Amino acid sequence: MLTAGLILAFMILPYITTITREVLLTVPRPLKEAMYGLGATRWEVVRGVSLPYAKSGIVGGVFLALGRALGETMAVTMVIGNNPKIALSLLEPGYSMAAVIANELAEAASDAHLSALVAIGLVLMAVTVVVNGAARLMLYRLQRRA
Amino acid sequence: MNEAYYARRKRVNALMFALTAVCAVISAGTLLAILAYIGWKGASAVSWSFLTKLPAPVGEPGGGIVNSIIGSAKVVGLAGLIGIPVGVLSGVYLAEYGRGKLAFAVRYAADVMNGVPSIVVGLFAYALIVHPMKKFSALSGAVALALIMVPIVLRNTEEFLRLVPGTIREAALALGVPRWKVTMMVIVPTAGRGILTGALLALARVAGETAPLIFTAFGNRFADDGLLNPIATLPHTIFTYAISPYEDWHNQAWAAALILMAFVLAVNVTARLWLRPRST
Repeated sequence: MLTAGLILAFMILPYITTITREVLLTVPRPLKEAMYGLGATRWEVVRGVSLPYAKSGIVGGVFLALGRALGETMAVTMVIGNNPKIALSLLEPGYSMAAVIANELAEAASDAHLSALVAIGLVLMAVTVVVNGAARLMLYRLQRRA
Repeated sequence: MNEAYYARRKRVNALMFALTAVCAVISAGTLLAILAYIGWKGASAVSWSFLTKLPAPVGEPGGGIVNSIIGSAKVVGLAGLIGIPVGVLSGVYLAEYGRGKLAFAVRYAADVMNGVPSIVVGLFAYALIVHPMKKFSALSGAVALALIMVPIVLRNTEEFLRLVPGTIREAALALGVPRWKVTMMVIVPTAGRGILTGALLALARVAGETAPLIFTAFGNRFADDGLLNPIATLPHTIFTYAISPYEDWHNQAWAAALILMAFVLAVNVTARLWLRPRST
């Protein structure tokens, strides 16, 4: 499970980077310049102006990326170990919703099995839609202000 | 007030700058590390016969992946044929006609769809096409990929159409040109390069999708025939080979990964270079 987590961390890194960059670019220049004019250092401008201004956008971007990580299938399936038990240790093999579907759907023979897998898909979809929906609303709010 | 205070502020500034720089290097370094590792692992197994031969029978060494390359081209091409027109036209709707609640709903739905896991989309294609037809097929894989493409193409098209100056629109309308002609013959061509690039990037993105293909296109070890039979695709072949117990297949998986990555990278770089001169 630890490996899967690490892989996902690297996979969502670019999303967070691009969204954060775009959001930070919407910070109005005069705000920053005013801060520089008061003698602030670069970091103080970032901390005092840019980050607070872009906060909801950055948090939205992070949630968007987490939503992606939630549904990422192949990379996780390959390394998570596909063990249908709840392990207490991070170093034990585990399973993810997406991985179950990926592994079993093509071979599901009975209708009950198939329905169970589709139900997992429904739960996965519901979770990601909620996460994404919330994240998008946060990003929209920032856009409207800009 | 005093020297120590200034010195501390400067130190914090330098420290935070160094921290951001280190993180940026890590971000970029990951890409380079992945490229280098796949290049190193895959290069030794890539050969002419690997690119032009069908897979060898299970257990025998050698063989190639030509069926996966053709299969990927077919599935992704078909997905583009379905997904690009729908995406571009709905983007036109949002940018040119969309107002009020409906437009907001469409845009919001597209954005949320963009984040829905590809495996769920695959599940949908399975329920929609594979289950009623009782057969895995290239067509169902293409539909799944097309569904993933639509929101990407849509949002991209909309953004580029919004960059077209309003004055151009007004000039055309003032000449008495009907609305649909203004849109189709003036606005869309003006933003054409951006729209096309977005479509290419979306194609490259779905070309690497594996999850929705496992139970739609399914994979096939023989030459493919038609759109209604199971078909091999590059990402799926990489997956099957990578989790297989054969050393020879592992090497082939690395090589196939190298080819897929080279393709995706080439499309991405070309698209971005092509777009650069005129973009904002």
